[in-house]
Amino acid sequence: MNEQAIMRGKTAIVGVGDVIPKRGETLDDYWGLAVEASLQALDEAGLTTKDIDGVVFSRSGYPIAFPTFPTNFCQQMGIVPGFMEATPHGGQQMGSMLWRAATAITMGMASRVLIVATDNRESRLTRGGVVNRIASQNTDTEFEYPFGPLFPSAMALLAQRHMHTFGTTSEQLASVAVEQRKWAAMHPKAMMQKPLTIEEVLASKMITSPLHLLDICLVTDGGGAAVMVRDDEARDCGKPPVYLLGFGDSAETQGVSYLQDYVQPAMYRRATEQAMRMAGVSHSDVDVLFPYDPCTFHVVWGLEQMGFCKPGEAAAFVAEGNLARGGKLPANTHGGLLSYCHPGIAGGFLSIVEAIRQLRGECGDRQVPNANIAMASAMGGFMAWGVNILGREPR
Amino acid sequence: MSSELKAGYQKPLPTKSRDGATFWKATRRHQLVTQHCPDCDKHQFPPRRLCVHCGGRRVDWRQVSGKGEIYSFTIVHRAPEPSFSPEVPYVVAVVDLAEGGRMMTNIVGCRTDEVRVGMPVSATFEEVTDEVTLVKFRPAAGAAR
Repeated sequence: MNEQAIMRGKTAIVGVGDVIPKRGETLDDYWGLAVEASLQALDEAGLTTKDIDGVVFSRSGYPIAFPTFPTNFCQQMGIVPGFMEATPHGGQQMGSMLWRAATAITMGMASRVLIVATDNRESRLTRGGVVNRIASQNTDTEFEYPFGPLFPSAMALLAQRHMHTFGTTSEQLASVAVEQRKWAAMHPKAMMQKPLTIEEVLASKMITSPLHLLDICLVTDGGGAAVMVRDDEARDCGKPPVYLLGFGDSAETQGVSYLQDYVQPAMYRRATEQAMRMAGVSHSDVDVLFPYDPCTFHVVWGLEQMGFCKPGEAAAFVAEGNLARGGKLPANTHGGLLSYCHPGIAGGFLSIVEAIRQLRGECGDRQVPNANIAMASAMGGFMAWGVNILGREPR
Repeated sequence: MSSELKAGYQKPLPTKSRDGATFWKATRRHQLVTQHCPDCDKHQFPPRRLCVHCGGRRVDWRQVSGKGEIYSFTIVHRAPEPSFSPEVPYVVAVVDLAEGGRMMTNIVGCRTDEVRVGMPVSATFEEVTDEVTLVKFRPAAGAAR
């Protein structure tokens, strides 16, 4: 056992919840989202707020009209924790939320931690406002923003380089959106259900080449939550436990301009290798994958960076239908940020919620048979990367 | 550029940092400078207090050629704020400088559909206000279009 395996399987998630708006609706109720998702997770776990002694809380990603500290959340819930944490790194934070909770539990600072990720990005900032606001605040305001990049331009620059290097095509990227829409249509809560074709993606408005509107994620409200406990309590709760087996975080730069290698950035490799080493899993052990998908390209990129495909081979892998139901590597089975829901900060956390539902075998039509190991990635804040590996057994 | 045009410049100006002051002072003289590390002889951009290549602590500034190559680019069709709207579609690119270092910029002096990854480019200086001169890039003389 390597020293990092001290954390492997020592904590488990025993309840999850998520609050997803209906298509065309917003839920401009930040604390309502956080509380409702938390109560769903507590109910699944068979616990109450009074059982909780630790809190990991994702602050809203953008300056909104009120503070969103862990203290505000404790006040809402009536929790007096022995451990509390607010996670950074924007959309990457689902990468850091689980291990922070697990570390607090392993160190004895808390025994039952509520992990909550919520944001009402659409109703607070509007869709267009999100695109504008993040561009002006998350790019380098001295050396990048004066040239007019959109927020998705950072993703577009990465995609363009990949196309140049490997001949990746817009049709291949569009197939990511098409495949994920098929999964979304099998999830009753998914915001986007209507089947999508490659032609429709390519005919949608060009935003920042090579990315069209339908290559880019949703902007919505929503939230998710999970309850994590120590392994010795895990089997006494209401739902089958899902164990945290491994995790890795890394970062390289804030601005996309300064990332050294667009095709194989060092941060990805570092976070993924750490998570897999800690979990003691190889690629063939992973039954269901959740590559972070702020745009279609990032799924292709993620498959390569996490080592499921060789550099340059993931686009064809996706286009051949391998991420679909019955495919070699079912991925983003809830529809992901492209079709399920993407409330900004909380978007990646909804992948964790779906991963847990898959590992518990609760996914109905979209259930991946014998799903034992799930892996999820997230990116944000801006060039930060996180990976979590979850399993049905502590290993 | 006429002073009326300068006075009318509505697009966001670079925020000022202590590390960037030398860079912006040079662009007003139509010179491109980047940091250079005397320990490992490499250049870097954006400016920092340390050399990110070797950890050296003696970074200084050197004038560079202004020659480079497009590492990647995107054609922006939807402006991030109204001041950019008259310009769409425009090219946002990241350019690898010949001496080292990579910077975001606009590609000017050619049609958007002529821009390619790997295209050789050279720096051009755009005085957007009396105080600020931005560095943009145009296809190098003889670059294949």
